[in-house]
Amino acid sequence: MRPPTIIGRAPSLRFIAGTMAAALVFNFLPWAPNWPVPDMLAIVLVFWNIFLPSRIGLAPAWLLGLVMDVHQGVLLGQHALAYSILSYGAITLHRRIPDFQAWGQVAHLYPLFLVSLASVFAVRWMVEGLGPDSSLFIQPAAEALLWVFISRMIQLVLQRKSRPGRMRARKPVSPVKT
Amino acid sequence: MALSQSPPAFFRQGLSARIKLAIALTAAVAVMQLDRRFEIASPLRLGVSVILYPVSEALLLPRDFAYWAGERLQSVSQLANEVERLRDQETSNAQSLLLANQLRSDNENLRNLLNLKSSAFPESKAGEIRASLKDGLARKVLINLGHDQGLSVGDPVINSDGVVGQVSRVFPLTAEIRLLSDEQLFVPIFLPRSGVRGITQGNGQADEFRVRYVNLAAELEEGDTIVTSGLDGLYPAGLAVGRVSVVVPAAQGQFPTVIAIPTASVARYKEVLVILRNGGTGPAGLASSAPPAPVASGSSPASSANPSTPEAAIQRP
Repeated sequence: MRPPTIIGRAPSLRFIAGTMAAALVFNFLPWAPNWPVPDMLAIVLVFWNIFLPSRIGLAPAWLLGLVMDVHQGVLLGQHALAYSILSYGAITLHRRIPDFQAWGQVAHLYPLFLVSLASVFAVRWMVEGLGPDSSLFIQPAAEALLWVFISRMIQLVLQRKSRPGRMRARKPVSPVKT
Repeated sequence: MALSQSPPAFFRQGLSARIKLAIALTAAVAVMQLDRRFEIASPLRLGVSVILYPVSEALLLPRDFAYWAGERLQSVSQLANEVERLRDQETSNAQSLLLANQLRSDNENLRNLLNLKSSAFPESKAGEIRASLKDGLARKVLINLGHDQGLSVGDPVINSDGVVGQVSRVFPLTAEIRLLSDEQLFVPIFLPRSGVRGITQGNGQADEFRVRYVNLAAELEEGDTIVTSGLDGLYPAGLAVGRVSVVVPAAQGQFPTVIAIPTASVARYKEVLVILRNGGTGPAGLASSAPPAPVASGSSPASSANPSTPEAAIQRP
């Protein structure tokens, strides 16, 4: 069964940039280094690449990956690589994902996040000789589960924005007091 | 279902997604190569980090406020205890400081008499740990000192308990410290009780490190203190590094596995001291190759005069 789809105006560039900035801020929060905190930027990039594949492509993913590399103080380019793979996967899956229920979406996205994180660990292993840790399997699971939640949230916001009654529901302009 | 209502372009669809992916991957690998092999990517990193600096500092504000409030709300008795402890420490430190000053002037006189190059005491800068980097595989923290304060890559970092790590990357206002437990940091060390030299290597995950390339015949015990040997010319000799916690005896033809715990806990104190190598005329440990026996550990002078190098260890049965 096809879930209700969003029919409305394409979201503004400002809204898209706003979600990405919020995700970036989430990633910049001082998390403990060993927690498998989900990468919010990856989640948001996958969302936009699934729902707007023609507008968001690999370029923003690549550039934001570079920003993450600088912030984490790691070898430049590894997050750019991971986010590029992620975005490509999301674009490939963009026709399938919306047709699935929550668990079906998780089942699709877990391998995608896993491959993307594995590419980061592969780079670390090849360049620095560091083996992967347990977060390799836990973090993608957290990301896939959170993706379902985040995508519902963004869709909710977009539906609110595009509801026809919204204009009328707005408060009338108060008359100027004299 | 796609959000956008405008139909996709019919004729000019641009490059295919696969070609775009190939370009992105090639570019990412190219940037990695540039960052690793050449210094070309460092201005890029510097520029982005300068733009990010206010954002990341602003995000630390709520946490700093919580710390500040917590400090203010500490009870009076706790503060009184702390003050008393610090006074005691100061009294005991005053004695050793006096002794150290006396020894330093003696040392200088003797060096002058012998026409040796005087070992200048290196300059240092006090700073504070701001945040730990979110990287599961590396153990790094960020401090609030940077290039503007005279830091350079490779400067040793200590706190009141001993060696913390080493400066691994320098930005204008911040610097990245590789902790002792990071897998990529190696510090040459010396065990005063057994007179053995070795090199530390972090374990990556836990707050501990391994002691590698120790003498095969050495009798190590749990609780042995570890100090810097100063052989690298970076760390002044005799700084506390850690304490041996686990010793697994060597198998045939292998080095023993020695696990140790750092004395300097980063979790407890935020304050660190960066020893500036460029500030002084040279590192203190460079001029004297034999490490001075630390007074506190009570090692015999013979153990420090007869260091056993890994090569010697291999030849010994």
